[in-house]
Amino acid sequence: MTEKERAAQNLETIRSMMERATVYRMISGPTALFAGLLAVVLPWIFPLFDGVKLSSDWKWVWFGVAGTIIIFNTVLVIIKAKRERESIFSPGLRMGLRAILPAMVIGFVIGLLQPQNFHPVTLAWIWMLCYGVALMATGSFAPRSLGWLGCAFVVAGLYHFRLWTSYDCGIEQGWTDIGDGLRVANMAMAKTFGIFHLIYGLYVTFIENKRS
Amino acid sequence: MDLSKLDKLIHEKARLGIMSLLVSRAERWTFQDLKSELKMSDGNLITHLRTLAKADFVVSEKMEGVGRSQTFYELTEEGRSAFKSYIAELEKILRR
Repeated sequence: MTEKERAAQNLETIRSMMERATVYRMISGPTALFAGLLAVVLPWIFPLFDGVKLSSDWKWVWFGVAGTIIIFNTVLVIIKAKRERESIFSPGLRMGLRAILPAMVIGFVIGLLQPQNFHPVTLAWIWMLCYGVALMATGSFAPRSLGWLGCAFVVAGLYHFRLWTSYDCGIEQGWTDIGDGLRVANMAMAKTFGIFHLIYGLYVTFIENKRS
Repeated sequence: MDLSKLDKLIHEKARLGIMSLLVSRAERWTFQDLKSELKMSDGNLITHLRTLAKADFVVSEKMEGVGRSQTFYELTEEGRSAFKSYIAELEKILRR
């Protein structure tokens, strides 16, 4: 090996070491695809949830979706940790959790404590904002695409908030009827949590992973 | 200019790994995090950390808490500038 090759190898070692320590992707491609698929499919199978007639029940359906995605992602993290013989709570994962948890917990608590007459559309844009802020908080160590995903959720959350208030909280559209309200909220969730995650998942799987 | 002129203290593979990790984040690293990231044994890691500390490249602080005590490590200004010079030397070799 020549001196040049050895120098290049050392620089590569430093680079990969620094990247491992500073780049951590909280949402993998498969998790994003799984999450996107669930969120897109849910509005179509929603009528099957016969008992869901109130917005206070509606949130539990989406909490269930979030829980399923968290379990799915946890399984992937465990498999990856075992394959690479690393601890599950790697420094990167802990750093990621520290960044996303505050905004995620706020979203969860607002959902949990929502009053009975809280419209589901309101909850949808609040969740978009909380989730977007959570993802953007990982900006200093996550790949750039995750920051853009967070940004898209914040913009979508603000857009839905604006739409909601400009429609006089849905009164003009008749969304105060709970059936319509649930449908509109489900569509908002599918368009953002569904479509955004699918786009991100496809981008990570077919472009970012191949590039790296 | 050749590889023999590089800082021997940093050039060793394990210490290069330690320095790279320490320089990569603004926060301090715990001993456990360094160990899990570098996949080194306790004895091996502590030996290299002591070598770097002896050269004033690294400082440590032991924190006693409610649970287990933890030792935190970070680079000194001297360590940071030595690491920068080391990379600059490598780049010079590559540009030759």
